[in-house]
Amino acid sequence: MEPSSQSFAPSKRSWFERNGFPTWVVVVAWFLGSLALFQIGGSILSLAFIVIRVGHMPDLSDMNNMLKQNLDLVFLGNSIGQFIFLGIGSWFISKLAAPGGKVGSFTGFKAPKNIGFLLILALLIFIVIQPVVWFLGWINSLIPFPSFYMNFEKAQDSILKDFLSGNMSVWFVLINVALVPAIFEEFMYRGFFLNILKKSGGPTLAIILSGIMFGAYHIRFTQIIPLSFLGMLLGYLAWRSESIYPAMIGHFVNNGLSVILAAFAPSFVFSKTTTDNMPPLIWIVLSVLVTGYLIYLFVTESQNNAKGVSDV
Amino acid sequence: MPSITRVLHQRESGLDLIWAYLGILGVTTGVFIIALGPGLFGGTPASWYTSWQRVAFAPLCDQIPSHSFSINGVQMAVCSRCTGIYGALWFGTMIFPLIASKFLPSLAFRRRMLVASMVIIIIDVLGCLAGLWTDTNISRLITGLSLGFSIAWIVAGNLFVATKRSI
Amino acid sequence: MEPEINDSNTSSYWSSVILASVIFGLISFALTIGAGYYTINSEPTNTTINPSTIVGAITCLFTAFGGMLAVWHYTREKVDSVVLGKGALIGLLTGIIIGLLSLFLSNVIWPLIDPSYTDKIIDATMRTMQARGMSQEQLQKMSDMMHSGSPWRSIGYAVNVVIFAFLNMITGMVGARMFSENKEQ
Repeated sequence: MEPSSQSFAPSKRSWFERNGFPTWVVVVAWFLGSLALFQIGGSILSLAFIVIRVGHMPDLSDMNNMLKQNLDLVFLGNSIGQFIFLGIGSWFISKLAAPGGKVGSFTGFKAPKNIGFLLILALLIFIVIQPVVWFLGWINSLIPFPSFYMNFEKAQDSILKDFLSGNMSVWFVLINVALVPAIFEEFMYRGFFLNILKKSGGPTLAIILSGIMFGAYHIRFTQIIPLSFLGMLLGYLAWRSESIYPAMIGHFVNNGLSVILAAFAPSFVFSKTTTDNMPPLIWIVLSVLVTGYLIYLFVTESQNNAKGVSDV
Repeated sequence: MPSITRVLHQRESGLDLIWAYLGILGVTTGVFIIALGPGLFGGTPASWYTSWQRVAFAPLCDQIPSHSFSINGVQMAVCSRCTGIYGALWFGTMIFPLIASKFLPSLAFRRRMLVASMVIIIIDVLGCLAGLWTDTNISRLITGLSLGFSIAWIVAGNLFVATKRSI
Repeated sequence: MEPEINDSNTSSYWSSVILASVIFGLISFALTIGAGYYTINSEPTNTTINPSTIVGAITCLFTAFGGMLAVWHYTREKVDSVVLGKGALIGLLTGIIIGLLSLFLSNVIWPLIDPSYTDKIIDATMRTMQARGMSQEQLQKMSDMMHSGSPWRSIGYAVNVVIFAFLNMITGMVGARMFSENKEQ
């Protein structure tokens, strides 16, 4: 049984619908707009924090060093940028897109009866699926990119690696790398984009498009295949459960796992699980089978919710 | 695609079901015996690394000596957690028909048991990695047993619920 | 009363879009090339605000109104009024075409008329950077990057098109509100 579709009386049409905005215009405009606002706004915030700390504007030639020495401020600016532009910004846009302006129900902030079990399943799915994600990363690494772009990504990688393996508190890193994106990126992608695309294009198109947009948003084209796959999986879980919470947990676990492993098993994360090598085939097979079974359980539980059945 | 239990149920006799059960029991028994390692077959510590049992499980298990039990002084082919998993898979499958007629939890309960055992293992691994506690071979064995039993009771349980028969 | 959404005319706004984007695209191109030649022929300066940057800002602001012009033309010639969403759509399409047209004229057509234009601009930029105190090593690096046709330039062009699209989308919405209300009055 499919999740319930939303149908609304004319008086419950969203502001965008009442004013004749095509869905694709809203989606493209907010995707590009939020990306630009977040990149620019987040960078300005990070730079402002660095200026406050060092007491002067850093020279352009010294900018790279300044960033490396103040990674905590860079990520703090990034997190505040996510809160402002992805969080508050998406809330405003969702208000205009939601029927009757009801943001909560439109974006999936509701907890079905068995939400606890669904959250645990989502947690397990995103742990067990890691070998598949690693495999997709290896596939992506086979695509040739121009050398100037590879140098750009190497610089980004080294910033992230320094942040993960630096001497900062694990909690600080966890909050900035896992918790903040799990809330605000999910609100934007699975809350706003998935639901507005679902209304006009159906769930399949919504899941695929929102997943690809999620992958592209990270501006890491050497990782776009695994990121888009994760985005689609998060979208599928959000659609099936009619709730954004499993996707938030899944995102948190996916990002948090790399933080925990980088802190306590760095050689495993930085040497063994790179995309230069494929994971062992048996790991991929087991990952696919176990993840498949867990997703089957997730779907069954969600369907039971929809039917109002509490036990099988 | 119909599930294997429905396909079996459609046949007139329960013989096919019994063969399926015996097949699963055979596989789990075989896997467990191999997991016990070369010590069971007269192997020596010197020959452990090149033994076919170790090689078979090498992609699946870290095979750390301090995390593994031994038989006849020879390290098993898998760690204590995997020993628990494979052992419980075998034992759980074997004893299931004996108790299913008296006590068969619902499928929902058995699924929750499986999920809970997976969560316990993950908490155990991450907690140990973070230095919150230290695992022992016994604690790893117990977490492995819980996962193995959960899997066995779902697989075997599905077979027996299909025909409501017990041996 | 809500303005009626005249869906049967969904294809007819293109003439307004193309008219506005050609006008504004040509003006944008002319201003950009003009500013370029001014930079080539003027003395290098180390001030941030100079005639070249002022012209650049004016060009950007001016071409933002292409969307509004397109909506004005559409309401004058085709329909009585336009909803906000259609104004946004018309503005967005106008902005994209303005950006692409200006790009095409500056980087494909003009180099056929003046093949040395690009080199002259690069040299003028180098002179300006030198006046601002950039070291010889950095200047050489920048020059090599600009002459080799750095791929980051393509990304810069794409960002330009997006900016044009956004600004015109906003003025398109403003135009929808303004010209629809005027019609009702």
